[in-house]
Amino acid sequence: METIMYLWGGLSEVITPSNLFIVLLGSLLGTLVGVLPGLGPTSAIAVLLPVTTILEPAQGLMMMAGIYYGSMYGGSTTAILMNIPGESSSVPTTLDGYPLAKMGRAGSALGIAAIGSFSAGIIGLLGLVLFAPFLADQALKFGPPEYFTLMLIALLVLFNLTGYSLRKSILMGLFGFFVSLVGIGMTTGMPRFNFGFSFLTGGFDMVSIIIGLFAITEVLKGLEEDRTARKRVKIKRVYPTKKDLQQSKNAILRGSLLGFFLGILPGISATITSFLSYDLEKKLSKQPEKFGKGAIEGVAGPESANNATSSGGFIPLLSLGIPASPPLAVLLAALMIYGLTPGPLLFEQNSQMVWMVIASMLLGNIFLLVLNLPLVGLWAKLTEVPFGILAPIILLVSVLGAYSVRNSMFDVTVAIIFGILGYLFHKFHWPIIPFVLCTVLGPKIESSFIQSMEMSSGNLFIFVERPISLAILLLAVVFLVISIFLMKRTKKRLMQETGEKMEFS
Amino acid sequence: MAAHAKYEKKIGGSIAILIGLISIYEAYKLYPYSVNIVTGDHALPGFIGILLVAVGISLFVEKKGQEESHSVLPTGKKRFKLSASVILLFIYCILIEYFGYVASTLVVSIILIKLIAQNRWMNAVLIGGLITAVLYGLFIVILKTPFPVGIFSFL
Repeated sequence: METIMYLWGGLSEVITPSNLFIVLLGSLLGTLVGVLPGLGPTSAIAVLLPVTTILEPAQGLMMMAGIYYGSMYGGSTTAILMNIPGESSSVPTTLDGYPLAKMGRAGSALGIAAIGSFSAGIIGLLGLVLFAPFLADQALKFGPPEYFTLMLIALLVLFNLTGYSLRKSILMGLFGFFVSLVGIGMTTGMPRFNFGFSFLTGGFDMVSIIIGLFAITEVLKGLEEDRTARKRVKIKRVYPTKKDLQQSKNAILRGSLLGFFLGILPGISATITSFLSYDLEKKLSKQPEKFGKGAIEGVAGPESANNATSSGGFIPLLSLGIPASPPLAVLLAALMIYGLTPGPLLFEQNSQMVWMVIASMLLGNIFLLVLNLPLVGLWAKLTEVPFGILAPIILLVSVLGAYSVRNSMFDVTVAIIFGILGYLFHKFHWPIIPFVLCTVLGPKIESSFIQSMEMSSGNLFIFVERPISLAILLLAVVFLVISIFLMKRTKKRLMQETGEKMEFS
Repeated sequence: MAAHAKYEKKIGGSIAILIGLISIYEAYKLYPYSVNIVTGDHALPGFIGILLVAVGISLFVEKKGQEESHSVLPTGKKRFKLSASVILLFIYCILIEYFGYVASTLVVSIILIKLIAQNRWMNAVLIGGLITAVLYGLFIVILKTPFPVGIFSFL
């Protein structure tokens, strides 16, 4: 009941003309960037993050959340109209979305995807409202050893999720840790890894690294693939028919619930839940032979599952400070830029702002549903922007955006170097996700570790001697086993459907 | 020349070992300031260094063919486009310091459009000018980013 009151309070604060405009702008900007082929939610948030820094923290975060939701929605547009899955979690959407579009039912597919995303977003938000404060309350009992164990285990489980070799994932995670250690040491205040260069003393800026790895890399990949504007399928009808809605309603509900409840468990990514939902719908269908040829349930289920998992990711992010995916890692970095520390104390110290942002997500989802259906034609048109024009714009915005965070040309150089590294990592199948997560979480893990060691006078067994820490370790083993099993299955499915290895999202 | 990923793991493993050794050396340098062997600024660099070396060695000695990526780096025109774009971005970093936002962004955007979109010069100039103006509005007018003014301080 108390949480409902908080949410109500948040809603009443969001409903001001300026806040509503910010939420609307964020949702539209996110969709705009999301529909551009090749740019996913992570690059959308990374590129637009510097733009939000002029806003008040609460407004900045509302805009970032809107961008996140909007870009998730935008991704389904390219998957359906052009058969381009921006991320591996959108692959199941292409399987039936594109055939539907070719049959002249692109509007139905896009409409159902929007309705599925909306209902999944709402279910995810309800979960966030109900579970996040409870989890944050429980997490208040955590001390540094529990935090250290939790973060380390979460990372280990996430490493298994990349879709590539576990050894490469671990190596990339370690490399991410290494990068996060550059700068001032937290106990002595001595510079670390600066090799005598003053520009390294301040460490690497997270936003520049992300802009490089996601935005610049994406352009380099596009240049190599010689991306030309692919012909999209024409849209005849924007709104889904009554029959489409009838056929999809159960798939949307199942996908949303499956995506949310599996998604809040560590080690289950949006790619896993969207494939599980697709296979579940096929199994339950009276006409399974229609799947792959244009079954509307094949769009409704996976799209809902994908979005529900992504919304569910806000629970560990806000209550524990642990991001479950790269876009959420960027959001974590954004929260830190705004001076907030995600974790259990967030709900105590910044309660008003957190509930305002949560309430804004609710409105953002409604805006997306109401506005995006009539705007489908416009979004579809945007997918035709030639890559030759898009690429220079992305490159210039990346450079200027990286500069604007700390007004430093060093950050721009870092973004370009990480852009090249990201391209090479992608080329040779070295997963980027562990790198990003470890770079973001590195400082928090180090402070928890040092505090734990100070508490125990250097006794490493502190991590297994405390009951909560030990329980986290045991639970982690269970999740890891489940995650490995589901991962193998999803890898096989992805290979069957695309014929190539992809990094999981 | 097609650069096959034959030695991808060997190269990756070697780089990991090298970074690991640097990390261990840094931990060794910071150790005198520590409280004990596991408490201090040296602790994580040390752990990570050891792990990087260990995983790097295991990758280096791994038998060929085990999950090899079989990727090929681009050649010819594609390689030129890729390298030229990246070099242009580095040049942009230098140009902006000396010539300020307007002149450098205009020049770089025109060249990038000519290079990537292969438009006519006239189109490239028009689109480049438009991009420069829009980004000026966003980053300088709205975001108030203090870009270097360079020699064209009046712009």
